[in-house]
Amino acid sequence: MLRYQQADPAATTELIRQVSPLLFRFLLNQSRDRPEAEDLLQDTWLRIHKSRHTHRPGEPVLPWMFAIARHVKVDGFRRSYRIRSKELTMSELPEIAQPTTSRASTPDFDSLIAALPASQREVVCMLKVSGMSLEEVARATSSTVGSVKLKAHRAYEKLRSILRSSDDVV
Amino acid sequence: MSCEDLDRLRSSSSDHSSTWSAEAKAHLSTCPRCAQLQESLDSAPDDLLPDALQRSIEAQILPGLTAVTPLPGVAWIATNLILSSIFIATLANWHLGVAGWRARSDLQLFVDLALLAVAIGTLAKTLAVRMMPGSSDTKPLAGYVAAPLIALAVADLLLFGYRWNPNFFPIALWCWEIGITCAAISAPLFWMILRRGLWLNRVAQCAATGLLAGLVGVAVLEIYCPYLDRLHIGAGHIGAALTASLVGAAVGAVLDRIERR
Repeated sequence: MLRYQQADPAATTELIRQVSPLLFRFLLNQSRDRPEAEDLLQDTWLRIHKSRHTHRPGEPVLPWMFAIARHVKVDGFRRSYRIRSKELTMSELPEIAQPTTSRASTPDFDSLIAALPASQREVVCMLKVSGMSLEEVARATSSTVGSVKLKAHRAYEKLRSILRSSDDVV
Repeated sequence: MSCEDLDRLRSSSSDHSSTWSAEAKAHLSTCPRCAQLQESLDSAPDDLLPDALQRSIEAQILPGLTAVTPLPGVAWIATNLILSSIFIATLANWHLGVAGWRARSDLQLFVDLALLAVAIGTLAKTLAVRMMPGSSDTKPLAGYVAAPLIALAVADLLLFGYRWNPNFFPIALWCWEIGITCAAISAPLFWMILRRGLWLNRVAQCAATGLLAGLVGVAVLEIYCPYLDRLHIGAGHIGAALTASLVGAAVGAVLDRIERR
């Protein structure tokens, strides 16, 4: 990160290659579709680049980047919500495709956590996909470690109940 | 180990299940539900980013890459904010006088100034820390704004008596104007110190900066104003800090709106 701040192109390329997949997974889990997540990732990097001086040397990098990504995501949703709310008044509602998960096999990560509320999905994604620690997630989401633990605990409870009910149906 | 215990273990660590204790692994092998959930969580894919997107990001960033100076340390920024506060308060009281200092008892003076010093120091530190997104201070900023105002109001109630003054409104308005003027002089100075930060919650951060400027006004008034009436201090002195904080929040909301356009 320090070499990125010092304008080292090799270090910057390496940083982009290492962090982009993590940010993309996070944004993909939070957004409605892939093109939207791709746009959000580009916006996130532009924002990170513009404010790269705000990272203090010695501080962890991932909470700083995810806090910015989270902010870009919220801004992006607000913008797309405004656009959608205007578009829906003129066109017909599109038919929403039903998820095609096999009940017999283990559901994949994405379809499983899609059932969670946004705040819990965000925490599970940061913990399990990005491999961040509880303290790092707390920093990125501007909440306490206790609150992160609680959200994660509720998310896992809910996921277990979803798996149980899907098995009951089968 | 029960399913709930395993949930607690998952919630308190981001580690892969392969690093768990033998007891947790034993539960996973006997409970199909937990095993199924863990399999899904461990299967989180990590290689989905298209190469074209990666290259596009690099193409956007690398050509305009220039060296930047990172933010100064928290202590340096907080010290600057505190010294600026002291400088403005000293200058204002040098101009207005210290009749309030003389009129107050030792206890009143000590409690008032100690509360103000703690509030200004804490606000300066939290603002300095929060210039960097994802900082270690994750407590809600609203608490930092509310706590000094509540503490000052409680101290006002406990330390000062009430005596109706027929000139209450003009005197309170006079003090409020002095407080607001001091805040208006302090705010641009604070903005100069804090402007390089990235404010993700602009409304809350501008409200906190407004309150810090307002507290400088309160400090000036506590030293200057000899009217020791709790209603006067509440409306004219603490009211000025509250107004400065509200104005800060409004400015933050406007800036936020402009940025989102």
